[in-house]
Amino acid sequence: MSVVDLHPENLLDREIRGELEPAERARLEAHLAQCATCRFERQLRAGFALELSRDSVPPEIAGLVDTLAKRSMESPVPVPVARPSRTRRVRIVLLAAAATLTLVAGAFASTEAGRRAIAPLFGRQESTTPNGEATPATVTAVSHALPLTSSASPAPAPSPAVAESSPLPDLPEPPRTVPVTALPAAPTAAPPEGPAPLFGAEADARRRGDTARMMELHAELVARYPQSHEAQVSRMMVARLLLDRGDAASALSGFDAYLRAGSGELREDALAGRATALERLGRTGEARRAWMALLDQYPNTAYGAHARSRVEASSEN
Amino acid sequence: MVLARQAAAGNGLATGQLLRMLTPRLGSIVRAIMGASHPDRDDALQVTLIGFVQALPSFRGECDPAGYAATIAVRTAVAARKRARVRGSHEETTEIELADPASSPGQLAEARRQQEILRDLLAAIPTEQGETLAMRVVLGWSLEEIAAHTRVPVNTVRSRLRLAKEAMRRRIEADADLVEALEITS
Repeated sequence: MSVVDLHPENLLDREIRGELEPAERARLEAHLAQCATCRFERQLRAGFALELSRDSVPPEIAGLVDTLAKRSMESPVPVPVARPSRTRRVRIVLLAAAATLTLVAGAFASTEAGRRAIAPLFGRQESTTPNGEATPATVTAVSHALPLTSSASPAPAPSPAVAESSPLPDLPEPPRTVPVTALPAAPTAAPPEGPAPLFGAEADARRRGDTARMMELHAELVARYPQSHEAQVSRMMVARLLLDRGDAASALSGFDAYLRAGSGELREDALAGRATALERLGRTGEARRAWMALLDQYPNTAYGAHARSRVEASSEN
Repeated sequence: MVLARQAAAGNGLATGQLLRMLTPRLGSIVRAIMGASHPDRDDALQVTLIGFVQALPSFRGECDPAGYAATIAVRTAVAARKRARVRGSHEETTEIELADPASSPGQLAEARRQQEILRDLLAAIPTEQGETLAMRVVLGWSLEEIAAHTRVPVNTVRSRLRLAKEAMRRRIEADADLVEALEITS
């Protein structure tokens, strides 16, 4: 093992915390001069630190968590969040179940009666037997997502396969796959109603790269549920996509629509997107005012340095 | 911590608050490890949240819930990236993401390329090494913090990290552009 193989992780940590003594700095610099791996690590850590400083919630997850949190405060009755596709519905319902049923967990959820009660809440009546008992498929699926033990019960031990590959033997194993085959068949219901299913379908189309379908679903969502949270997030998603694809005029309309609606946690991004779109359209004066509006409303915005540089640049012109 | 204990005891209000509090950070971690344009990114975040909520009843307040959740996020994201690598399904897509305004396009492109090299490496090396390297480089944890969160001795962490860095060194040396970007002098 060479000196270069003895990577001084502690010195890199102390450097980040600003605790390096001169002698330590000299040692670190000497090592970095020879070790590309540590230079790479240092560079990456700085980049990821910046990236992690900008919290990221994909729009549909933001909507989902908001919905779950809201519902967990309003009512102990879990309600399905979205049903855009079977696989996606399974995941969302599992998450909804996991979060909201914490409300009624404990003794109730640990009983067979609790398990029987869960299925109808999710419209899974068809997966129960005539006398109301949950089928094994239902129990398997729900128990996968739910802590059906009371808080006094021991946590489930990781499976041997997991324990072998996992460095977290004492922690409950996060589910790595959703047992789709164990879930009951999708109900043969009418086409889904409500903004959440539409939004979910739109997100699915986006992931598939089916932009035409995505735009169709977006139009339907904002036409039928213009005031919904999902429509707001969708407006932003589409506007950013259009901006990314070079259609600044349509993107600008989208950002304006988002801002006109007057609510939403992406307002800061919408203001930045609007200013960028105006710039790309060559509407310099309006772009300048848009950047100033962003700085005015969000003095500590992540776009601050860029916004200020754009304002200064437009002042010089 | 109090919130986590209440959530662990079945308090729905606390669970909602805890999810709201932690999800942005978990979203960032998953995005950092998987890449902003990875098609399985949202799914990995959902699985992370499910895993965290599942684990809540056994939470006894002996560790930081945010660190605990971050550990789940790292493990989930590394596993998802590995699965995608096996499937060979990850294709770069045009992600709707405003450019980082603080960097020049060239700097941004090089930083993204280097991050993508790391992500590929995380998926290519053994799981424990990948998770350890991700906690070190992406989360910025010290060896002691990694040991505490993964419940293994510090020397085990050191050993995993050394092996991961050895793989990293081989990867760097195989990439002339990366060698140049890192300005290797010897």
